[in-house]
Amino acid sequence: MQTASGRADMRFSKQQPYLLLGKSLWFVFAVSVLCLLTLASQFLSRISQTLNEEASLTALEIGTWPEDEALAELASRLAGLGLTRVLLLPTALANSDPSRIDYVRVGNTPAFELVSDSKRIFTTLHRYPEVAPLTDPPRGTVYGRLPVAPGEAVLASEIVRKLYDENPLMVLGRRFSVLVTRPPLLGLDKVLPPRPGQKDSRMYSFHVVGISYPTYPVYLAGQESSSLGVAQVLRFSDLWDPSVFTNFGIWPTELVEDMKDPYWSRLATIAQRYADAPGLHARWYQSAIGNPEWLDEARRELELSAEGVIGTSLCSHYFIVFATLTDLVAATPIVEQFTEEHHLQLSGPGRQLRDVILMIVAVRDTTRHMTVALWLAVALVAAIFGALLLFSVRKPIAVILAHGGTPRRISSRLALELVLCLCASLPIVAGATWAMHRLQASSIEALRSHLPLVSVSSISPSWRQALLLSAEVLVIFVAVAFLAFFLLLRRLLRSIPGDASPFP
Amino acid sequence: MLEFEGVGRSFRTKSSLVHVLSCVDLRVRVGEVCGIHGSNGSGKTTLLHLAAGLLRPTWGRISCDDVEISGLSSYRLAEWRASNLGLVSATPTDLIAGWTVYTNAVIAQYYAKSAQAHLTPDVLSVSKQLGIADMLSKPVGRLSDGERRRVQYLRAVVSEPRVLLIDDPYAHIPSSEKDAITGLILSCSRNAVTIICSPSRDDLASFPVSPYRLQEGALFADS
Repeated sequence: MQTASGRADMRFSKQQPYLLLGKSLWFVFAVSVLCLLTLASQFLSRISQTLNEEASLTALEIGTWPEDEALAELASRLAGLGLTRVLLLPTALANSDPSRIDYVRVGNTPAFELVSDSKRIFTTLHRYPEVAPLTDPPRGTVYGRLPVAPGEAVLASEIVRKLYDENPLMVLGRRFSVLVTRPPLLGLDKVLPPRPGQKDSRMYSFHVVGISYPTYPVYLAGQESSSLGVAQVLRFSDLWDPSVFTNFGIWPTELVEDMKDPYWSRLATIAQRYADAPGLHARWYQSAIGNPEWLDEARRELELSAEGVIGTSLCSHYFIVFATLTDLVAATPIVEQFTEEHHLQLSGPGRQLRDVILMIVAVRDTTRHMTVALWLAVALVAAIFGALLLFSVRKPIAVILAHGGTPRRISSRLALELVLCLCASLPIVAGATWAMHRLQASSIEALRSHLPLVSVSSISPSWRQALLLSAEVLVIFVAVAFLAFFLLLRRLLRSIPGDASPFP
Repeated sequence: MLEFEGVGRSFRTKSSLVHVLSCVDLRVRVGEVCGIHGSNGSGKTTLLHLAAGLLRPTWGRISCDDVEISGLSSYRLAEWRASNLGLVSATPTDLIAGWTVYTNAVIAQYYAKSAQAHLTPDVLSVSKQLGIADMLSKPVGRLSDGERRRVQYLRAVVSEPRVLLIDDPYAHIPSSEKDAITGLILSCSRNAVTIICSPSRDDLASFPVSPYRLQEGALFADS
């Protein structure tokens, strides 16, 4: 009997009557799948969010010569959309039309005149009054007149640059005021010099403290004096390499503050990228620095009694740059309507990439909803899992209870087995996290190779993030599943004995 | 001693209230074997489940050795069953098919007591008496109904109960094994176990029992 007894003991110890442990595989499977889904959703969400915030690459162009009133109307319509941030970026794009810059005199006033062959886009920049002697640089002022088109700032700076090339001491340390007016009729401007405060005019002032070669830093950031009326929503500025901002004292405090914003800084970086890689956008203005021969020629022409300079004319364009793709998608119909009403031409990468943009926005919205849905799914699946787990062991528990098992010992045993299930799932969840991390890393590499201009550093997954996310899923799942299980178990324990007895 | 005082039990159905037991008074002494018979649906199983604490009486009082089991909480009742009760139901459906005979026999006590070592000799001796000693390591799912029925007896007896409740003692038991079952019941009786069973009227002759008859919800002493 002792031998048989020993065998029986051995059998019992081998056949530990686990109530739940056999179901641990389902537990592990459920937790791992939910971890993977949540990680994938988070990753997709981060990618779409990053792409969404690279909207500055996908600006819209509305072409040239919109009326001031029309711009104000556009601004108010865009303001009605409640967009995050919008930048009206006036710039000059290279035009195939040749232009020339002449050094002329208007009356007794020497001036530069910018003329395009196809149309008279550019007027004159006057030096008025006469440049003060070098011994009195702060009082030196240049009044000028440039086209009202947004490329005016570029042109003004070009003229300043030419002056600088001619004689740096003539412009260095001086305050320049550039008066911008509409193209004059009948060439009266040559007779009547423009005046500040004239209708449809605006003034730019800047103080040249230096010109940095060859990074093309000279820029105007003007306080507009015109009635353009777009300042509340659309900001006027030109963006260049932020690293040279400190070389100039012309930046309003407000703009300097703006440049600290990552969005504006990124925009400046993008502008620089365009300048460095004009092939990205063939019509982007190429500075004179990019064409030394042209610069030399200009200098030579200026030295030769201010005769005209032949160069690339500048076509003015308005770029509307949005902070996010969501804003871009929301604003596109209004901008399209605007360009149709005013017979402008809507172009730009934002229009060309419309389908991609819509897809990115859709992914962003979907993943945002998916993330919420997944967390709910984690809780729901956990609750269902807890209920199923109890359902699967209902009969053994009922039998044990009916034949003398005590609820306390059954509960503690079930808790122990659930903890063992949890421990068994940990390495699987860690493996799933590792696999997802690898997949994310390879996806980032693919993204980087296909979208070189998009900064993907912010979406590169880290082990810590992946582990934290998995841990969150695990904790929520386990907490809800255990809660559901033990609440139902408590109910079961109380129902036996009772009318719910499994024994007919 | 197990005692029923004016015990009644009714079940509520969708349309009506069914009174299965109306007024049962019963007193079973220590070592006594009480046999209750009656027609199908007369309430025999309900009475046994009331005695086991698996059902609570709608009215009346059930006590065992001065412990009113009908008033115990479900947790206390489970503890009381663990230390006092052996139950053999009429059909062998309350066994876990995937577990072995041995595990089924000791599992309830495993969850009731801290050590099961003392159970092993009992399991072996009782299983020999029941003729299932060589089946201890077999899963219950592979056994016939008659063998499962004997596993139920094994489980009920190895816990050394003070009260043994047997519903239809010879159901599914082949004639050749009936003597072994009878012997087991009588040996329990000799060991001061209070026994209530519900044999068929024909099987009453196999027992030295105190016979009772259940009829229309009431219990009568049967001559």
